[in-house]
Amino acid sequence: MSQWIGVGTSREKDSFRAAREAAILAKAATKQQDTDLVLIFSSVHYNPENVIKGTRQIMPEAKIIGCSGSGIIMPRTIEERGLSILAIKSNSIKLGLGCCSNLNEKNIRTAGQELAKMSLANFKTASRDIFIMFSDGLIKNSSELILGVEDILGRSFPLIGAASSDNLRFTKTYQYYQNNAFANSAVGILLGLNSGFGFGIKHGWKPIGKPRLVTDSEANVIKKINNEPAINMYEEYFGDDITELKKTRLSRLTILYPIGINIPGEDEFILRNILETTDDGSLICQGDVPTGAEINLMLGSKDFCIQAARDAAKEAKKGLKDKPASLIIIFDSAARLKLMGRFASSEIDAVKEVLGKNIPIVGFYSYGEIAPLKAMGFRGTSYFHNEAIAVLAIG
Amino acid sequence: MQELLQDFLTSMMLSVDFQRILNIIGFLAVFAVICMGVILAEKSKQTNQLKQSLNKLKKSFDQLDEQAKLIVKTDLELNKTQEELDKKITALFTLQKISRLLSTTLDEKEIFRRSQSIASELGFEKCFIIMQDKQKGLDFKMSRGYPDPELERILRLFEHDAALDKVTKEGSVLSSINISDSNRNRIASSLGVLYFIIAPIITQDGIEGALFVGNESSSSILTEGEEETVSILATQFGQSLENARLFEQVYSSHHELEAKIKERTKELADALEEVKRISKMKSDFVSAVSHELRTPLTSIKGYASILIDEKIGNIPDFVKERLEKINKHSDGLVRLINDLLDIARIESGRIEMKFDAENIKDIVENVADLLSPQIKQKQIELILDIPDSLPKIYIDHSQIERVFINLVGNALKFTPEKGKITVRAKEIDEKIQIDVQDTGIGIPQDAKEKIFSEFYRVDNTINQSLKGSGLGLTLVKYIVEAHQGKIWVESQPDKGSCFSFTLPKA
Repeated sequence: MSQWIGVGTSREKDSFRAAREAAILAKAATKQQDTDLVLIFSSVHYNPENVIKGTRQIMPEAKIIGCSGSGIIMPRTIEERGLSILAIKSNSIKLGLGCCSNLNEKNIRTAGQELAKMSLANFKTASRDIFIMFSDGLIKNSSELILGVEDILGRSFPLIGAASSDNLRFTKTYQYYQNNAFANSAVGILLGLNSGFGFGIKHGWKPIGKPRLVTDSEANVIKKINNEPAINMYEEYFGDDITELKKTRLSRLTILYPIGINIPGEDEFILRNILETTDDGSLICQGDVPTGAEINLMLGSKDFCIQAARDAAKEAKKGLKDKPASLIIIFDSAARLKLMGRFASSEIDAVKEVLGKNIPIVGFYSYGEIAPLKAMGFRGTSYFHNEAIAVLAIG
Repeated sequence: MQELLQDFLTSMMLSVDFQRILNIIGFLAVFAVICMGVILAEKSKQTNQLKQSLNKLKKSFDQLDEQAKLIVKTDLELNKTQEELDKKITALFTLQKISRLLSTTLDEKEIFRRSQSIASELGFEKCFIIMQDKQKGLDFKMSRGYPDPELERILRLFEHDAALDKVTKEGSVLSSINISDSNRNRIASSLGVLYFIIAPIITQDGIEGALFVGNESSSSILTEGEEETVSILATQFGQSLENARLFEQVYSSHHELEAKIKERTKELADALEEVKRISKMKSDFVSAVSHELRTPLTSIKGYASILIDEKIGNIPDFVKERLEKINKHSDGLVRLINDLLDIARIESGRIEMKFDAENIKDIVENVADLLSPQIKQKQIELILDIPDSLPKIYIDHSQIERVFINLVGNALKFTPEKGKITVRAKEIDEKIQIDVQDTGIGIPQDAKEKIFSEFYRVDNTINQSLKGSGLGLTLVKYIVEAHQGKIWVESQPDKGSCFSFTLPKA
């Protein structure tokens, strides 16, 4: 059982050349003739078609999957403009790729099922360990998509992934699948690893003020909180600033003050970003919020973020048992990048401190993170999180 | 209550019949009702208390929520400040980076080329620089994020939009946050952006152009800090351009100067060559003429000697006297020609020097012997101050002997009777310095430099009465210099002169 892992990065401005450069570096790091699996994370500055072409020139045989991010986590730095390629060659890994495009035109839950079915069909063998997925961060009901995948793969099957992003422009994000660069799609890969893995997801945001009750909601739209228009909650906290916030797109600043859903048995609340507000005062969230949920306004800080990153890494380490990690994949929230600013690398440093310094790292800043909840009552069911950091460590 | 109990006990004591039992039950029922009432009253009191506590709790909960609101507001404010601060720090870094980039080149084209990184460094998607060109009018010097056909349209916008005159004519900064809504919307949509900053590029010659940066996405709102940064950058840009131009001027004038110096140097070198050529011609001429003169002179002298010696017959005394004059003058002429020949030879490097380690005292004593008749005749005191320990000198014996003969001879010539001549030698570093000092008539100040020139003779009574070639000191100078030495004179009229020269140690 052997496995070779290599990470290559580039900050080159030309898309084709950047992908080619990163692919060459990644392949060289594996020291192998060919590659089985390639993960591409690129900032939205790149032309996605040319990124695929550049990668293909170096790795014509590899299975390709990936997406765009609001910042790319590289082994040594974080780049707002850059591209990172992970290459894996293994004689024991089992892969099944799937994709589902044109999500807007489909029932989102059915689309999730479609994605899982396709991956499963491509996977063939029975021993599957984990499903990694990347979905368009602009779709509004990602939770439904996850439910669809779980319909096929099982409620307790570990689902880890993230929503692709576009530097908080909220216009177009990309998903890579084999020779295609899609937008408005979801891609995934079913993996049989044989080598063990561990994951952890944390956010570190703390509830502030009194809890409130969601009295009317539908999937990802909160209509009423405490029987009042949902926007009132933000108005109460932000006061006059709300008009300015509305004018300048609420999502820009509310990412620093998300809504937290209290989950009994979990250490942390599940966070929900506010994407938009409607004229009747409803809040459109990135992920669903059930009626009857107890919610709070949440407050974050740099220190909380760093501690959360450390805790997520510790969880991942626990999952690996005594095995050392050979690869770290990080899905970090674009909101956290914004909050951390120049100190963003402190989070990644905290992860490295826990899991080891010289281990290949890939990752990106996303519009949502997908990972299972730990509490017994949830039986390891995966959820769509916002503003969290998910750490996946592969043994 | 007590009364009831009394009755109860009395009746218990009186009879235990049915009536009594009923009475007891009645009593008990009344008692129970009373107890219930008491308990109820107590309960309602507790409920009231609880209600009060709950209200208090709710109140403090609301108070806490108010505090939370305050915290959120403060946090919001903090975040805004931090965002602004982060932007400023990033902008400062970027400014420093771009400034360095721009100031490390003095080539105008390179400055424009390097300025392409302005947009990405400052986090803008689009940028361009337009400059007033003398020939073309307004023209793009750099653009990013616009296809060519767009640029033409933008040029026209800058030429015709009155709002943009504020930048290009008045030199103020125009941005999406300091402009009226209608102007902002028009300019933003014309430039295909949501946010923009346009800053003037000002040089000594006035407003020469404008720097534009803009964003088409809403991810980052423009701040006054950014406006300031871009304005500073545009100023820096103008300065860099000015520096480049100044450098260009200095560079070209430096080149002109260099070319002129080269030309002049060549002219001087040519002139020097010409001087050298003429000097050589002169030496050659002197040498040739001297040779030509020497042969007939030898004949003249020979024939004169034959006649004086009366080898071809007796001659009268007065003829003999004339013949001796011919002989004497011929000798003078031979000496003159020999001196001229030597000078020409030394000058042209044709003379072959025979260097050897010599004792300076021997040479001087030899010369003193040679000149002793004249010394005695004029009763001159000759002092030789030459230490025995003095190192030997590395010289051509016969040439240096001529130097001494000339210098001591001159001293004898210009020192009155009973005067004093001192020949002194001392060691100075790697050289031996020899002084020939006399108590003669001295040399006028203005003649000091000239006396070493060919055919120069100081105008004084002695020179008027005594004949000389004017070549002696010239020859001395040439010989000393041929020994890598120096010669100079110090003199005070009527007090004496001191000729000093240096010779190499052996």
